[in-house]
Amino acid sequence: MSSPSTSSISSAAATVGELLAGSARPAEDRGILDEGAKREIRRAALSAVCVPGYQVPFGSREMPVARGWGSGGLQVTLAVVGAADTVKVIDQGDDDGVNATNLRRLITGSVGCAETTDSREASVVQTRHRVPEQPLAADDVLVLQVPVPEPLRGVQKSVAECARMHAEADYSSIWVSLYEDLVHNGVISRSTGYPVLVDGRYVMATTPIPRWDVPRLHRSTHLSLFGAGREKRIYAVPPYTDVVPLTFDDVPFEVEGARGARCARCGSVDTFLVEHGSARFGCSDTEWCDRVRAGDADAEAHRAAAPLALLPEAARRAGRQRPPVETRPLPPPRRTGCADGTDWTLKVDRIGKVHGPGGAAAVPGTGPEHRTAVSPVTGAVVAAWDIGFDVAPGEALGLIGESGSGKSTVLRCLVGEEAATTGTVRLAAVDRGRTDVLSLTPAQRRRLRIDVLGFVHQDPAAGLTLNVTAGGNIAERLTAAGWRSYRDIRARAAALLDRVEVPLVRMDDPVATFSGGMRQRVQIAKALATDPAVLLLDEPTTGLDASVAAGVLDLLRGLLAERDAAAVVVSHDFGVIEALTDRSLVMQLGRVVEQGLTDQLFRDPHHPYTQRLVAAARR
Amino acid sequence: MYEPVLEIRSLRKTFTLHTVDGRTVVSLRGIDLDVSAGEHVALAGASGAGKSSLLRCVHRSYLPDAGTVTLHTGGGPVELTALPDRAMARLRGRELGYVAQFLTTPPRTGPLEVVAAAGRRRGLRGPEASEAAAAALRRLALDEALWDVDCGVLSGGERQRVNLAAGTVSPPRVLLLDEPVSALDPANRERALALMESLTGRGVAVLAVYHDTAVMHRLASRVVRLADGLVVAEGSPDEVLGAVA
Amino acid sequence: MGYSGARGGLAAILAAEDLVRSARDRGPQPWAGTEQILARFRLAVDRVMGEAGLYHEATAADAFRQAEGDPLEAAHLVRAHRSTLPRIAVSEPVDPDEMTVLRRIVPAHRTPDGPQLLGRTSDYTGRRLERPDGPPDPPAGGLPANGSATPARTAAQRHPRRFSALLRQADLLVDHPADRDDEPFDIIRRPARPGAPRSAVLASMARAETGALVGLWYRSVLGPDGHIHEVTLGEVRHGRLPLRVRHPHTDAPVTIGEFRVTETEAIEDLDEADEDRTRFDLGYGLCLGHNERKAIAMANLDIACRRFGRDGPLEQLLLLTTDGLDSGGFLEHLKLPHYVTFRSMVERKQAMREQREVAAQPTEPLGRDCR
Repeated sequence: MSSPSTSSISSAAATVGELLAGSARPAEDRGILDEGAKREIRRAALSAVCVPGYQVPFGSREMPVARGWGSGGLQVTLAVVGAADTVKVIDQGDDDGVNATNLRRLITGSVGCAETTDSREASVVQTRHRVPEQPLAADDVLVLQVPVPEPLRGVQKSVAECARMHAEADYSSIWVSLYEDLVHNGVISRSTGYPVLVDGRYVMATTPIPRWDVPRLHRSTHLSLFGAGREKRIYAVPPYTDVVPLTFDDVPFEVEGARGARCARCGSVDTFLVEHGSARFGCSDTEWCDRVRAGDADAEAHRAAAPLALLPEAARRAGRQRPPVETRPLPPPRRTGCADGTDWTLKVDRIGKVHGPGGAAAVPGTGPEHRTAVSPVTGAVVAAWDIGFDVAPGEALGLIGESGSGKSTVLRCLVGEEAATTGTVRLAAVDRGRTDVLSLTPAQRRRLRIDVLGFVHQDPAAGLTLNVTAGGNIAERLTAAGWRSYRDIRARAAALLDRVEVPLVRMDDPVATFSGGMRQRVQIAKALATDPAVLLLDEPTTGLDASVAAGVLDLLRGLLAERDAAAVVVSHDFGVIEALTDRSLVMQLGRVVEQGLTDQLFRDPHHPYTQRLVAAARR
Repeated sequence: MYEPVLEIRSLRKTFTLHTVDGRTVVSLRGIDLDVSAGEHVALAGASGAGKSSLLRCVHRSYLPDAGTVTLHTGGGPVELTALPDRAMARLRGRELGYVAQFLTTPPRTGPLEVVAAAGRRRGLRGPEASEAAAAALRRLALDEALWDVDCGVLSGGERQRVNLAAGTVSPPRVLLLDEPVSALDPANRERALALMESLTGRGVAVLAVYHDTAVMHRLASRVVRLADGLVVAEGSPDEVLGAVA
Repeated sequence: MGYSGARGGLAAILAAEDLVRSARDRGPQPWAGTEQILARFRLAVDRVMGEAGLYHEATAADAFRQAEGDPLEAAHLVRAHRSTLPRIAVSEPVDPDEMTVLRRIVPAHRTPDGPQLLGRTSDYTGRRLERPDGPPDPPAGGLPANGSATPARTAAQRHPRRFSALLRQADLLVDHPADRDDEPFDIIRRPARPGAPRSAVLASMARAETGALVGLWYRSVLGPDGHIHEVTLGEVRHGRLPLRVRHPHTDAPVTIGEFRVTETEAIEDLDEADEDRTRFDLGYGLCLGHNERKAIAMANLDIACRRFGRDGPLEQLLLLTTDGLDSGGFLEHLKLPHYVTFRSMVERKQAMREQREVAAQPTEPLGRDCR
């Protein structure tokens, strides 16, 4: 780091040293952080530089300042400065803020380095809430104090779930929050701490710096280190790294701006302005303001680099764009075949699920012929055993049986909500059917739920986020699949909702305000959003009134024929199975007892259990 | 010229009623029957003789216990009783039509769409299917105002005509008809009979059940009488039913 | 060159500091010495040590004085002090059965092995405010030699067998053979996040702010979202344990001192479908100093977390929300200037309003109706 030794505040009215000399307190010459701890912090900072935007956990120590008062920034600064450095500390852009003053004396007191207010002289700048207007030099370090390092906190409260989302780059929920913001407010209303995508990989919280400063992190020449002491995280933006604010391709990112506002002191219009007295503005960066007044600033270069092109402009906004009156019909889906030349889309072989001890050893003595699913050997419940079928594009297969027969277990094993005890599942869309999808990692299988497997739950609440709008629920699936145009997402969501006969005036209402039948239609639209090759329906009409159920059934029948998906329909109701499927498997106590063409099973059931089911359906 | 499209051999069907003390009901005891292209075979016999069961066994709505049903398709002979379910489901749409007495389409689909969907299953393209559907409905004089009304609100006679139109649009190789005109008034019945008459000329093999001997006399090229699950007589309508009085 | 504006900030800060110092240290009352604080404010000092996670009575007492009696502020001072110190050794694991008990009660049993030893407690004293004019008179006949009125206890009485040992003997406790967690999780060096081993949860609770832990416990009992039931206490102990480190030259463990802890075992009634409902399970609590409230809450929350923590919010609550320095610091940071962020918020409000005016045309019904 550079080492200009002159301290520019020596000319100030009173220096720290002078003020301290006049007061009766112990000398501040002690270190405030053990050298071993500093080493740990440097190690974490190096990791952070290697993985830009990733929050590196570190053993954050307690500082003489409270958590939230810059304890993270202070630790980072103490770990990186040496006696030869010159340090500048600002809060809100002001060198003279109480927090800045306090931290400056702790740093200089414990390290013995020089201090300055001139960004050009500083080798390390610690800041809260601002990036200095003066561009930093290539070997400078900007240390930002971070209160909340987790950009997903607003959309996900579980830290374990946030960690999973980062690990899998599963950022659809934050995209949905931006979509919802636009729907409700016409603009993205996030003010500071705006989420950015760093190096194309990690979503990162910009510590509450204003949006004005966000573009200045993009491919900056200096190193930015972010220290969150309370949450024990360090992250970094190395020099020349891409930092892209999250926004839709057709929705401009906007910085703060007030029309006609200028600094009342220096007259600048290209700096971040804060309220200054009543109805006036002033530069938040006091150093810059003073230097402009003193004629000691490269105003032209500053103007050229300022994000003036990103000032808000209502005309450019997508805003509360209403859905198109004439929705275009859904385009036909695209399908992949599988490697062995056969035409199945989904192939399930010998799936088995045993709850409890024993695995396959628990199976003997269970099943319809023994009239129990409970293993006499181990006491385990054999929920399903030796279930196999395949489904072709445009074909619908029914799984029928009473509750407890194992049909829903099969479906849950298929999507990975439950771990199958045995068996394989293949999809034409995955490695052209050569890979058993049950052998994939949970993350890979979650990925399949986005664009290969559509799932319609019995309870719409299980497949929807109720406080999100109908359009937003569909946007969740689309953004997960990589859609980034707000208009395209709106158009696709409108086409889907129109197809499932949800009135488009309700597109922007939270689904919590919808009736059961309407929710189920939205869930179906969401399941279809990415035109999955496989559609799994678990009792899709069971919770609905008879007349509403009939409408949903009609809709599904039309969709299954039209979308060319391979569907598996699970129901206890022969009426539903008959309406939707061509072929069916009848399940009892975890086994398939009969299979055949659905109308044949209904008109000419052979197994006593199937005959009972048919008799019940005819009542 | 004798060109069987459908060959039925030793077909047997027995029902086991597990819900009623496991008793068995014998329906077909060994049926042998051929139907050729352009032939219209009517099944006669008392109620319970096995007429509808035979149609359903051919269609695989009933699974026969023994015997074979061979359908000669463009791709060669196919034995239906042993055909895998998926192949059977696909073959039904293209090669083997079944017109039941009652329409079983979803109540919220319109007649034009029901008929066009049947046409598409038999390989017609979108616009082609719609045109054929319109022609079929027009031929059966279904009021055009009803074409996009939900079938659920139609009368029994209207629904039967929709059903017939769906069964005969771009007709399949073999058509199974089970009391297809039972609910029609005389004028509409006449149109329907004319339609069915025309199928023969288009080479469709028809196996049908009618409750009305006059219809058999008019349409059937051959009548097969069943009794107690067996063929007991076979010949021209006059031979089997007796000359029209 | 250079900006040299007004620097009133530092002067104001120093003035505020001086106000605190002069009022606290130079008042007319006698100086409260470290020994004085240790003798008079034992429980406060113990609480500071527990919440700071550092056992040194004199340090905690000095912090307590400097913090004007605010235990959280005192814990902050102690922890910040520890951050300046190198870590020169790591103590050996200690078996809590080595504890020399000063107080021990077994609520779950009338006559447990070993004594019910009430010890130094005001649990059974009527909470009546005493307002003496001065120090009380010394008792007649003077103090006994050991400074206590109670008779001397035997070594066996000071090391009673645990009640849980009795339960284990009767095969009434579930065993957790797979629950090995041999190397304790060091929450100072590694931030603990959900999914952390039990030792991380225990360490977090041992260092938690007492009020936060008791509050979380009570919320889990009575709040709308908790599902723990109160346990039966098998053991509540306060006593001394030896502190051992390995000798740098001989590598043999050497006892270098003693420290006091409060230890609790909580007996939990298992009642979930997938649990062994014919047995009990045990929750464990241990914290520095004498702080029974904290140790009991800890033991109950420990077993609750092992049963339900991963499936619900409890694990995250325990690991991340009970540290007093974290919660207090974050709360107090709201006092810092926030005018940059607030300016940004105001700007968005104005943008929203502007946008609303642009899009204020009525929306006609679109698309078809839902049947």
